[in-house]
Amino acid sequence: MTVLRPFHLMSRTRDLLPLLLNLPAVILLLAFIAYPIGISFWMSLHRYNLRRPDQVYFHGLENYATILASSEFWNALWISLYFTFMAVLLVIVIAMAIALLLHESFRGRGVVRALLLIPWAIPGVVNGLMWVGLLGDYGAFNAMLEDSVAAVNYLFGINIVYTGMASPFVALNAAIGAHVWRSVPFACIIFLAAIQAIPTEQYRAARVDGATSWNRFRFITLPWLYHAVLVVAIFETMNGFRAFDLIYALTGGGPGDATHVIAWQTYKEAFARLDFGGANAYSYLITLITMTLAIIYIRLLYRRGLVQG
Amino acid sequence: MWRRASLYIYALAAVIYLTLPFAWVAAVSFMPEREVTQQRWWPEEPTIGNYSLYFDVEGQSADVGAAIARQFPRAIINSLIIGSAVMLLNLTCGSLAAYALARLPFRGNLLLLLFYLGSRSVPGVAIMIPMYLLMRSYGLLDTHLSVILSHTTFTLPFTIWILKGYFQTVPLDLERAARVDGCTPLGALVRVFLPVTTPGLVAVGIFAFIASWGEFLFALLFTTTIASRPVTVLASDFAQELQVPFTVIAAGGVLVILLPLVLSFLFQRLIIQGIGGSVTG
Repeated sequence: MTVLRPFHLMSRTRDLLPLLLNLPAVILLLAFIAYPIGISFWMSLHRYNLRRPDQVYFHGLENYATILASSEFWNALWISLYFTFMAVLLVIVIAMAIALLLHESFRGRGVVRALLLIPWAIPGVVNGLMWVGLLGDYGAFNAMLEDSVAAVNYLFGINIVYTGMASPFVALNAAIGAHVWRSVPFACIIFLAAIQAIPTEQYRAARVDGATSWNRFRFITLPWLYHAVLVVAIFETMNGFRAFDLIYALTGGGPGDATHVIAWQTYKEAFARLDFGGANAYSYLITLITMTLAIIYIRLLYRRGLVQG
Repeated sequence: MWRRASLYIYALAAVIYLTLPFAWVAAVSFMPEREVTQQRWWPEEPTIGNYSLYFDVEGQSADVGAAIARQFPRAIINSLIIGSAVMLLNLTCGSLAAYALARLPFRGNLLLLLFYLGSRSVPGVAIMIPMYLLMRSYGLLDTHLSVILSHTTFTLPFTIWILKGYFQTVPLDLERAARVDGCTPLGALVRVFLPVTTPGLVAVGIFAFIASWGEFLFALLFTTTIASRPVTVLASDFAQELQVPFTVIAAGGVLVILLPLVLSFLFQRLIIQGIGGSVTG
């Protein structure tokens, strides 16, 4: 340990102001995010059911063992994985298609760009209610789906019975469709910003060399968009695992357990069964999954030197 | 020529995809109930009857769903109070933190940045039970404050992240000049820096407001009566009541969406820049 030198002292006081400026934000986040996560872990190690408040006791990893052995958890995890995977894929494809369109210059582009914000501005619950109507008995999309199923049946001589939202398959994929619809604008704007950052000389050079438009997309646009696609993929993965409000309004987890995504399952565990211990173990598993994703995200960005401190 | 034409077909497809679901719901909100069952796309005899349920505060209407609809004005006011407070808290706490991160080199800034990034990735369900118990033990259940605090914490990391990127684009010379003229660092922030960065601040403010307006999980858990229930939670009651005609629900949906929609149109450019800058910045 060396003797404290004067300039060392000085830099200490210089550090004080920035820390002070961060203090309000840090206090809020410590109090309402970090602390609850700690408590959540501690509670997940207890038997704690609100129906029996007198029987709260520590029992280690019992809750986790119960969950990992239950078919409900694996069912919910599987549904969430399917939901998230499909959502990420569709959001990237659709958002990319619209971003590429908005990069072209044509009359009315400003209008399309303004309309892009409609799905984004709609709250998740209201989005769910909207799609209840759209896919309900008299809904606009229900009629379209019915007609297209009838057309497929006619063309291929098969007999698929369309039962609308009563079918687990339709309900789950409709939820994905509604979730994707609302998520597209955000991803699209990120892609658009990234596309606009690509130097135009590269395209000109490629055109001179006689590259086709597909090759221009494949060898210039896509590599430049690597970072943006990564950000959207991780962001939408987290979003997919959190899907709750849409499910609450659109399917209520049904039919049966077809749309029991993991967030919904956790909510049920806590506020329907009042099993706070078990539900906290559930939440902790979700936290672990999303935290792992966040770490992968940060590491990937750092490796490419795209985040500066 | 063909290229032009295919571009416009492409654009038309995009417009249909983005607007059709909402356009249909908006059209239904002006239809009498029987027209929905005829699967119309456009109201033949447009009516505002569905909306009048929502402004009939004293009304005794026994229609299904009227009891929910009657509470809408109160709930919208709750949402406004919560959203505005969340916006203000985000702007004050967020701009202070982002300024330090963007401008003042200090030890531990990387750690803080990672802390913010990390808190942004915590899902709401993961902390809902401790948050619920926390609010209960402080007697904050069914108050605006409980919702405001939870909404502020989950919007704040994003605010700081975007503002930091935005602040770094402002030339350093501006504050240097202010400092030379005798401003303290805080004085330079308030008098020189904040006015220049108003567009960025407006963008994150609108973001925070719209995010708060649309948040559901915490609002659902913390609020029980109309004294504090925001409009998204009230609207979710329609999902529990099976017999409410969809025309009425559609009108309610339009009412909930109206404000965020208007805000996003008004501040379109700033919002698009803000989201885009969150990655490239």
